Amino acid sequence: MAVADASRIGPPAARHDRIVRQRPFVVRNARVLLIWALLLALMGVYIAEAPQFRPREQRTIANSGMTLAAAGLGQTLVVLTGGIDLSVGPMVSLTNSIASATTDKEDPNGSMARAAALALAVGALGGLINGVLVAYGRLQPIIVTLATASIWTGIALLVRPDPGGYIPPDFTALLAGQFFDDGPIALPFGLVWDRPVPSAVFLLIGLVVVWLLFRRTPLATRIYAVGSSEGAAYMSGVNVARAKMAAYTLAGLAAGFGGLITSAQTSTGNALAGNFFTLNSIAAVVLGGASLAGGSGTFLGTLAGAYVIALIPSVLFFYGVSTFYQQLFQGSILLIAVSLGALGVFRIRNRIERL
Amino acid sequence: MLLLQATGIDKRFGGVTALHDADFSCDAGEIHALLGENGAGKSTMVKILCGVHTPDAGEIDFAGRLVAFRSPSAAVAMGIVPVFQELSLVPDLSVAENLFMGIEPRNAIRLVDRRAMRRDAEALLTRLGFSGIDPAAVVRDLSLAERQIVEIVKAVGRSPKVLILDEATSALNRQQVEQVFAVVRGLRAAGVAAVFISHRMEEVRDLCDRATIFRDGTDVGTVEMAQASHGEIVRMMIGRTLHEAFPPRPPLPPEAEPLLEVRGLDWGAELRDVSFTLHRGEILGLSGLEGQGQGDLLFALFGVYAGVTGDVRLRGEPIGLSGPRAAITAKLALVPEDRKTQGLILPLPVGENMTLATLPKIAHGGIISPEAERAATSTMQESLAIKTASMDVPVRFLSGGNQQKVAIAKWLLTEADVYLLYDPTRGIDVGAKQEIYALMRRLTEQGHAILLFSTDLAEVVGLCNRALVMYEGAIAVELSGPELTQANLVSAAIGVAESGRVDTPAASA
Amino acid sequence: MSASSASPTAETIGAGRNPWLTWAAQHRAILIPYGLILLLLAAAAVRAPGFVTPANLRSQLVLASYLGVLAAGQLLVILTGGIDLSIAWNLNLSAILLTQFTGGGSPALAAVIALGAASLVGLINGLGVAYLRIPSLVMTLGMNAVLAGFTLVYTNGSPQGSAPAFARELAVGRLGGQIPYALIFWALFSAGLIFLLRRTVFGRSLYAIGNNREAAYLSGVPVRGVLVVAYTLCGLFAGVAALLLVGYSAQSYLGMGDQYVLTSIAAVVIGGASILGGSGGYGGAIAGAITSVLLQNVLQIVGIPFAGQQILYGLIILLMLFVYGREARVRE
Repeated sequence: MAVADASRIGPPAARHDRIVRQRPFVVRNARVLLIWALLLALMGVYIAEAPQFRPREQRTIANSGMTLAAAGLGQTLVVLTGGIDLSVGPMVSLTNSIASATTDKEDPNGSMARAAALALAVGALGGLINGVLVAYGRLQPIIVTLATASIWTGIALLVRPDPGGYIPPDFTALLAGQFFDDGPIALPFGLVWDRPVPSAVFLLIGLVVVWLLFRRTPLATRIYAVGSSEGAAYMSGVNVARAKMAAYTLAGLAAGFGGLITSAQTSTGNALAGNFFTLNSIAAVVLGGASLAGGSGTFLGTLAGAYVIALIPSVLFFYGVSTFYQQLFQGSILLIAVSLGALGVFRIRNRIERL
Repeated sequence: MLLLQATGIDKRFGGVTALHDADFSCDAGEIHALLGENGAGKSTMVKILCGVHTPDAGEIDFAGRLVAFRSPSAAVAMGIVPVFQELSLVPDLSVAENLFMGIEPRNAIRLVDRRAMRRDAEALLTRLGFSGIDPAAVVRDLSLAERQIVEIVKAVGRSPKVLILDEATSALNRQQVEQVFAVVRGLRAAGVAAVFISHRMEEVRDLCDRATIFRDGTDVGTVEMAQASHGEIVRMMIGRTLHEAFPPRPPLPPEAEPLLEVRGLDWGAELRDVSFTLHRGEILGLSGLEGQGQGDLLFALFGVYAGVTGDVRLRGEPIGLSGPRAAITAKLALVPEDRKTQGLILPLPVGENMTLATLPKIAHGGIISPEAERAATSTMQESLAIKTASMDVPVRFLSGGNQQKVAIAKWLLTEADVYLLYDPTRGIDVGAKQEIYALMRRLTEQGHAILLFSTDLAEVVGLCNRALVMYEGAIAVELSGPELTQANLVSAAIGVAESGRVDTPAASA
Repeated sequence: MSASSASPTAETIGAGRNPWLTWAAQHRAILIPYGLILLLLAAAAVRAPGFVTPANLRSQLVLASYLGVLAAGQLLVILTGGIDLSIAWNLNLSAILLTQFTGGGSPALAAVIALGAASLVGLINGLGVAYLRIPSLVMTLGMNAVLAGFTLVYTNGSPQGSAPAFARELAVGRLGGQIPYALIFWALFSAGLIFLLRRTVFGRSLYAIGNNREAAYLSGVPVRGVLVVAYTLCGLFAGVAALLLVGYSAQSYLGMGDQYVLTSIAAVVIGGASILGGSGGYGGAIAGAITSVLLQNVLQIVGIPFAGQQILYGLIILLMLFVYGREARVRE
């Protein structure tokens, strides 16, 4: 009988008790930090190159990525489950159309409040339909949302065949204007605030707070769990279908909010105005470091991704580059980002996993 | 006090019976082992107990009430908490989030109280003796052993009345196993019942009060661990009626030509200095506990893994290990572990599955010749007696045995010299098994060679000329001739695992 | 325990059932879209008898041929389990290259450049998807933006030139004044593509990869090579479609490919292909392309506005998913 050398059959190196620690902050959040660094660099360029950086420019820059940030929030939620929502853009258009068509010049504020509530409800309902089809119909998200995208566009065109409609100026001022316009404000501790702040800044802070609160709900954990490993989530007692449905519904709600912001910013309705947000929201999510396979990503990354995409045209403008280059740059940055993220493929030792 | 009782359980998967009229019961405050060979039905039984599978017949009593679980979470809610080898941890979430999935501590406004969760996780880990794991660490970054520990801690954190550990300690080292055992004994003292499945007999002896032995899908007896001898238990496990008669095994001529020579094969920590020679006409068995690198060895030889080092020669010529395509050219064949996901493409027709590895052979200039394809597939259908209405039927409609024949036919068509087989008879019926055994014998008579990994010890003993017992990626023991017995295989695998070195009676004989 | 007693085996399938039903179930991916075509034509015949004339049906088919060529490329990619969103601007760039270089004097060179550029774009998509494992959605989405930007920069916002004579002839000309060259071309193209899918090593490999990448790889199928070829062909076909569309409209313009992403995917899905890959054929996609074109035009004829078309379009895709989706569930 052949007996192998006994001395090398000890426990392999990995099997000692090591102290497992959370990875350092920078390592854990490398991709989010990178996109924020890129965003800050772009903003630096913007501020350095812009002839002036008055409240007007501040408002423009804050508004530029606002709808995309809202749409991106929704897209993030869906991507976290491992899905995709191609109906985000048309939902922005649809809710924008609805808002612009249900307002009444005789009762601007009251009708706008009702229109806004209706838009948000339509957004959530549309998302719910996507969610039910994906989670309970067990259909593929990409094709389901492609189909509903077509439906939302059709409904938007019924509601608003031609661009137009009415959005009260107060609503525009509220969501796309600025605060603290009327001189210095006294703050506690004797401090004084004396410059206007774009309302978009408050909206962004609001979105971030909503995200941070959401991240602390059990639902958020479930959405991450479903995207990370559906089987493990099921074994842990997660209602997989319900978590997915919730993610799509909230995505629809976020898109509806995006539609309201577009309404405020453009003061008008357009049944096709929001369609490009579908692709840009996916780009923002990917730039923000989320995995399209699901389970990892954060709105904080998507937010930076959205503003990177939104700022590129302005920065190009200041460098005297034709706006024709805008999409070229946006697309290139997206491709470079995913390519860099993909280089890890070559470290995989099992060739099956490289396929 | 009787706590959990399953009586008359039947369970079939497709055409294969996993359990037939099986009983199992355990008391509160005991640690009860389930023993048996692979495929004896232990895992199916515990999966039925905890709601992963629904039984086809039979009933389950829990704490004096008839229960039927619709999902694993329903069982957990009642206090039957399983820990499986297939992990239920979510890789992208932190240890704490996983530990408290579904039972998160909430604060005043019903949000998850992360600080409390972290604190509770820390306390739980420390209480159970695993303070080395940071609750904030992401599960993805943990080693397999650490994940198993977290899995066990997660189960314990759910206050089980019945704790099921199914191979839950397979990746743990001695010290970690001891810590887990201390936890389980603590639970026993508190009146919890634990059901324990492990391949390591010494662990079973160490921990368990009683053991129920399963064989061929039913229970064959329950013993008190203190009274039962090692030999007695092994006999009950393997003492099954050998209804598979193996074809006669002609002795290998001493001058048999070496066909596949492997020297110093290394792949990370998974394969360590593997060397052996496979001769023409030989069936060489791979054995040992599950997951000791046997499957990795087959994949490495077939070129699936990158970064494999060592010298591999086929008919004296070095081969590159660069991928399946090169391996096929070099006349290697691999029938992989899972025929449904690796061996076959289920929705595609029988014929297309058969010719998938030999497309260049039946095509001219990239265009497939229907005549050549028909000739190839009908030859195979005939020689393997594959039961199918036609070659155009999707292979998923075939029975398990016929599916496996198709998977093997694909490789016979490549006219390979060396066949790497991963558990080729798992989950198929007896008749098809017989035919596959006969086929293997035919191949060796034609001068081919087979490297066979089988979890069925009877197969290794009945078919192989020699067997290599693997442990942690290395070849620990070689058994041949009269020493190649089921008892010796079990002893070698367990003995090696227990001592970390080779000192079993069989090995030193 | 005999394995054949419990699960449906090959011998028992279809036994004891109406053979017609069995046949219909097996060929549902062909029957349903062609049935849909008949339904649309019937609706048109009732509401607008003028629509269902040989001459008009012929021109509908010609329109469908353009989409059909494009859908062929999308089908190849979808069969691998991917998707190509870049065909919109790949088509557009190719069309612009064709007209610009034709204006420069050499239609033949223009065609080579246009088709070459389209194939190159497909090749890059394929390399990114196959070797860097970038999800096809992101790869082709990014590529689409790059191409849109490049096209804008290249044309400075206004494409020049005109369609080469041979493209016009191919797209709108008729053999003997009767049979459109476009249909002759589409027939030959379809025959070639169906042959490619059914009778070649490439076709077999495509279905194998789309159904089960791991098993295909373990059987020695060159997975990444096949993926690259599929995306490259998809690019090439976008170029061919560009040529036809340039011939049809006698010029190139910005945005001419935009509507074709949705319609090409819809044609493939209506034709019974699974978006997960591995199932579906060109026979269905042909019907899908015709359905797509008829849907737009018949609905217009019967007085349903563009908005209604969009809604019906989406509903039909969803309906198809449910109809075809049943089979997928059995497969699980």
